[in-house]
Amino acid sequence: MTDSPSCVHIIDDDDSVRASTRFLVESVDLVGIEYASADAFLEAYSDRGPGCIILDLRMPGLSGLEALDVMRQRSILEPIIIITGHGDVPVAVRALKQGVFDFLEKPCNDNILIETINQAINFDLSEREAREKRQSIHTALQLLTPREEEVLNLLVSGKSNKQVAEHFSLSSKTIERHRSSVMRKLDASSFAQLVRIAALRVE
Amino acid sequence: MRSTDSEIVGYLRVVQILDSLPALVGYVDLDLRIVYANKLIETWYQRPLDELVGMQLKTLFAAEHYQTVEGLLGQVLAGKEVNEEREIQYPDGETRQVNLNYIPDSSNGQVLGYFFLVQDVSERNRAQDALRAINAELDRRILDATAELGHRNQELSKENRAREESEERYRIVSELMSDLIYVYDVDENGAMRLVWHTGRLSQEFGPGIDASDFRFWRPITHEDDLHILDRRIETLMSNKSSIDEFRVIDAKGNVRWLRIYGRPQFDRALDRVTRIIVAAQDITEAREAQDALDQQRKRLHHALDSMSDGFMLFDAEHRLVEFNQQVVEMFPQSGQAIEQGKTFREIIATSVNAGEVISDEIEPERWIEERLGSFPNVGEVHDIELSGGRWIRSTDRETADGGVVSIRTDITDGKRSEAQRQKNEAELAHVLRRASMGEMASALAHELSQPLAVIVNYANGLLRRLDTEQRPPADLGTALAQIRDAGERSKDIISHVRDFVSRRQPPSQKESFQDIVQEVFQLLHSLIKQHNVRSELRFPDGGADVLVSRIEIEQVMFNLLKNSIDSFALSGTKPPLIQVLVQPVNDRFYEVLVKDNGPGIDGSIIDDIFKPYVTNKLTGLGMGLSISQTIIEGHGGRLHLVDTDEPGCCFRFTLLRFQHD
Repeated sequence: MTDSPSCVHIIDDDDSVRASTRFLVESVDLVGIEYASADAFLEAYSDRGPGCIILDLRMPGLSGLEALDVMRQRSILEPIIIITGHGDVPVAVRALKQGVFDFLEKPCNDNILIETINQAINFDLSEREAREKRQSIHTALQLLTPREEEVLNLLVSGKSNKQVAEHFSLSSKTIERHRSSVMRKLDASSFAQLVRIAALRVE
Repeated sequence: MRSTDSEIVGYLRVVQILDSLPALVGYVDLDLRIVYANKLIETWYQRPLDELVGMQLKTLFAAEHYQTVEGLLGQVLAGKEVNEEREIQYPDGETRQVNLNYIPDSSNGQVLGYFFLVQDVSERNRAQDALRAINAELDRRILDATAELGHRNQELSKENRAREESEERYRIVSELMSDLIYVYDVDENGAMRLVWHTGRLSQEFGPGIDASDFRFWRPITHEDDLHILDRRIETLMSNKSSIDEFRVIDAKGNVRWLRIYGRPQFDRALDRVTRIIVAAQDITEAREAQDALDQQRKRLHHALDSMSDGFMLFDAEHRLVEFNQQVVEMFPQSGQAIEQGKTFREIIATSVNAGEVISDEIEPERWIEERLGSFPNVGEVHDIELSGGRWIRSTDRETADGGVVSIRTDITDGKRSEAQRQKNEAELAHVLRRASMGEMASALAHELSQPLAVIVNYANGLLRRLDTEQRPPADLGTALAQIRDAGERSKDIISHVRDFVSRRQPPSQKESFQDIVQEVFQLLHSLIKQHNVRSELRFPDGGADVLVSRIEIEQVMFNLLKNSIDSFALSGTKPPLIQVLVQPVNDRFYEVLVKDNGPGIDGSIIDDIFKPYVTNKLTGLGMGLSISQTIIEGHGGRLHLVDTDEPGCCFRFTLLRFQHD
């Protein structure tokens, strides 16, 4: 967890419901940001670090499900908790298929809401970490020379140093040097670690 | 030649009799000179008798008069009796219908002159004409009534035939009609003796007549009329003329009516009545005609009285000619004042002034004027409320001669069942309101979940803050105010629903139509949101105050708006729009248009949409429009579908404006 409080984006057209939700989330040291509609959210959104989105599905203007599509297109990646006053199974199924984090019926138990929010934020945190890691590996991979990348590919595919040397008609010594360089650049302390990092690269 | 005393007395007697006759009697010789005539000729020809005697007819008669009778004179002088009717203008200025009876005076086959008897039959003819006129008038009325009564047609035409038959009989017998003349002497004891009569007595009335008895009518007089004879003699003896009518039974056993004129002669010297001259007329047929007429009239009345409706026939001046008992009974307080000859105005004024007619807070005088203005209300009906909760419907029809047949029907029962029907419909509307709330239950649950969520969130937010900080948070007041507001909002939603479902039939009063529309939009709030419906409300400046029963008009708006919203659900029209447009039509009414851009109404049910159980919705009873139309009609308007070129549907109705004064 980071030191700065996580942020809950609250999208609801009912002023008092929205304000009350914010009041609730702020009681557990979260920051609530209010939006009166999905349109208003898309207009005003900026990434404020780890957090989640609470979306009321029954709203005028851009409907909830359409809003989900637009958010994905815009790479707004915070987990989304759908809230509706009306158990609508087909809508819920569609929402979950679109990758919604959870689906709650209003009025919802505050413990469940807060817990769900916390789960969503934790999920976001780990997602962000994973993304960061992927990003750093991606950056490190950029540092490899073409020959080093080729050597890495062959190594993680299970070939021995000797086999790789034969493949390139180079000496085993040269291959050994490339391998140490790759491990240094990718910050891998063992061959097993190197294989894991290479696997992440493929994603 | 010397006449004996008795001959002179006899002659004088004859002269006296002749002079008292209501006919010209006389004798004309071969030279067509008047030899003798009775006193009446002085009146008719305006000359003294001395001058007339010896005068030639050609001199006496005006040229036209002479031409009229010339041929008849030729006949009588040729020895042939003349009995003809002619119309002649006499020098006294009168034109008379006369019966000319010339009887040749012949001896050994040679004509010496002729007797004449000229009777004025104008009266009789006039009476006949009048009778015919009355019959014609009655015919006309019967025709009117017949048309009106329809189902009594046959009965009446049967009566017509009977009357025609009686007329025919009358015509035949009236030709046989004749006068009888006879004379009594009265002695000092008051005893009467028949001294002379025209001799047709026994011929007419058979051997039952014993002319030697002065009371010769008595044996054949109808026993119910004997008292008339007694009274008659008393009258005559006290030197007063008398005219009496009584019945006798003639030789053939027929009842005949006689009219008897009696004239006493008073002898001053003797200070008593010495002679009574009597002329008797057979008026049987006239009486029978009159009776038939009366009978006819009675039958007509009987027919009218046996109708269940009240009937009044007015002439062209709107005076009452005929009416039946029903119309009298329909107006227990003022009906007794209905009588022939009264004007329509007098009749209704009596009803209004007796407080029998409820004049709707209008001045009685004005009510009467308005009623007169709508009389006759040909082609439409006029319902009148009476005290005691009764209702009378008036239907008028004009007759060919400008009169008015006015029928009054008691429609109280109909009105009562109408009231019952309205009550039932109000009940049904109430049930439907509950049903529509049922349909809306899930939408309402959402509506309520909003403020409840607010309350729960604030309360939990507060509790959590208290747990962690152990002291009231800074925004405690704001949170509590929010909780209170949300509580109020829940209460409002619940009471809206409760009001809508449970309110019943408040009377019409001043209401703001704008408020009504907004309240209904409130009720439908969650549905409107769910379907993203945009609404546009247009009211006249200063709003629209209407005179309505609020709950009923709310129901109408609810039904129309809910139908529109449901139609959006069916079609998925985008973007859905509902318009409520209100504008004045005139001083009295607002026009309300409720439009949507939904799929409109299916052509297959478009003619039936106001009928119950017709719907194109997946749910619902199909009662909404039927109820709405009943409500609007109850408010004096009409609800209908407006044909527009635009897609969707548009309903129009009118509402009575509240009059600010």
